[in-house]
Amino acid sequence: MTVKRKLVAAAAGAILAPIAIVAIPQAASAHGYVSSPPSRQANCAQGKVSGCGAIAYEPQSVEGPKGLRSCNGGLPGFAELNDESKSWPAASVGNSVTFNWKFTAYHRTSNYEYYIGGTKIADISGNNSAPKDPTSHTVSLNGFSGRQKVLAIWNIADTPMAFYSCIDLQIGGGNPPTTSNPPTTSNPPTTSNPPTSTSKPPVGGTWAAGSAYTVGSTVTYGGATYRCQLAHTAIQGWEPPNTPALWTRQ
Amino acid sequence: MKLALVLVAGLVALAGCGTGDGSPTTAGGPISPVPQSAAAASAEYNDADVMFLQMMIAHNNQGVEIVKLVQAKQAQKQELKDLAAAIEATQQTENTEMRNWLKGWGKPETGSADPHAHHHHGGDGLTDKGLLEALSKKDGLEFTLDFADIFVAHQHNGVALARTELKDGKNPEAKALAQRVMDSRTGEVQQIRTLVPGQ
Repeated sequence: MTVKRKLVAAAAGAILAPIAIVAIPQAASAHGYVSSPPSRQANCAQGKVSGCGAIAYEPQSVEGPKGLRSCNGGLPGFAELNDESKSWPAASVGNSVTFNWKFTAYHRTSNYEYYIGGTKIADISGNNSAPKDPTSHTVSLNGFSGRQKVLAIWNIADTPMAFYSCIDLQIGGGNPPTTSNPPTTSNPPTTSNPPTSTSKPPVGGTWAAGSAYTVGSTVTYGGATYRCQLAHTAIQGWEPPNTPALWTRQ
Repeated sequence: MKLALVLVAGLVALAGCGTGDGSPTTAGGPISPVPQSAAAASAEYNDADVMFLQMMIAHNNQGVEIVKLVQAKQAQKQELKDLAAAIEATQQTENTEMRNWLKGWGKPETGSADPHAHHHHGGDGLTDKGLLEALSKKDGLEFTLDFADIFVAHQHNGVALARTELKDGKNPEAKALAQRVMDSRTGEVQQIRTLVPGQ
């Protein structure tokens, strides 16, 4: 049995292995990322996290098609950004956080989106114009606590592309659970910069990955209420709007 | 041991991508009705998107076939049965969605099975039929353990398909689905590891 199981695993590995061969993306020209609280690429660029690969040299280049939900913008060369086993420092914040952007090219902007898990916590218009410098957005974190990963997305107006930054936060104070690297609290968000536009209230909800739901229980998600159709334990990727077989919108 | 060799042989065979067998790989029977999402994907797509959808539909069909075994077996934990039912339901929804997108693009549900293209996607990622047949004859803890082995490997192959799509695909809806596939399969495997001893 044991031998067999190892072989099964090895066979699976044989399929996956070629996928792990990555292409280093072309050195990109432009662009931008969340500088504080430090995004993962900012931590890599500042040497606060080691073993980051190419992203340490071009934190502004996490560019991928719009609509992705990954830290690396779908770029295999920046796969380190998706590695949850790395000791990403988590910045301690309260019930809201101000994200500051650093740009190296000022593309006309559709909007900025912020997600925790599958929940959009803010959607801020870029007014179809180039970002101002500095650009910062204050976003409410109501309903979230503990260690959370925020995905910040800068959607470009005149290309199909977007720029992705993941920011690890410790919400509601306390020390981040993992990591030998202390949180970089020395650079508090520069709240002196007024947000370029007013953030909207969070549209998250009570749905949470890891929670067990029975038939008939209700959750809120994205401003809507959903009723559970099939008993299950929620996981990321099974957000109610994506799983009509599990949830019916009320 | 014997089973493992069958699987390895199956994987080698997959390099040819099963062009000879035109029949659907699922024995899952008619797809139960799921809410029809009429939404078409945006018109911008490339060959990698089409291949991802075609391969993922076949992969999901086989995944449904595997989790149906759990529901049919006695003496399996209720949590495992619930998980199996949720996987079946969510993958059938995904397939409905993917079929709609392919239809909107005027593409067939099954691919031309270009071996080179499939090879680029890491083989077709399907599990050997002999393994599944052997699994279907097992019961109790032996079934649980083998199910976990086979299904975890199966879903990892699904993640590999999704990863290729994120790298090479173009269509935003298909790429967003690929991201959900990566997330949800990872979550499913985590749940299986908490429910099955030794995983």
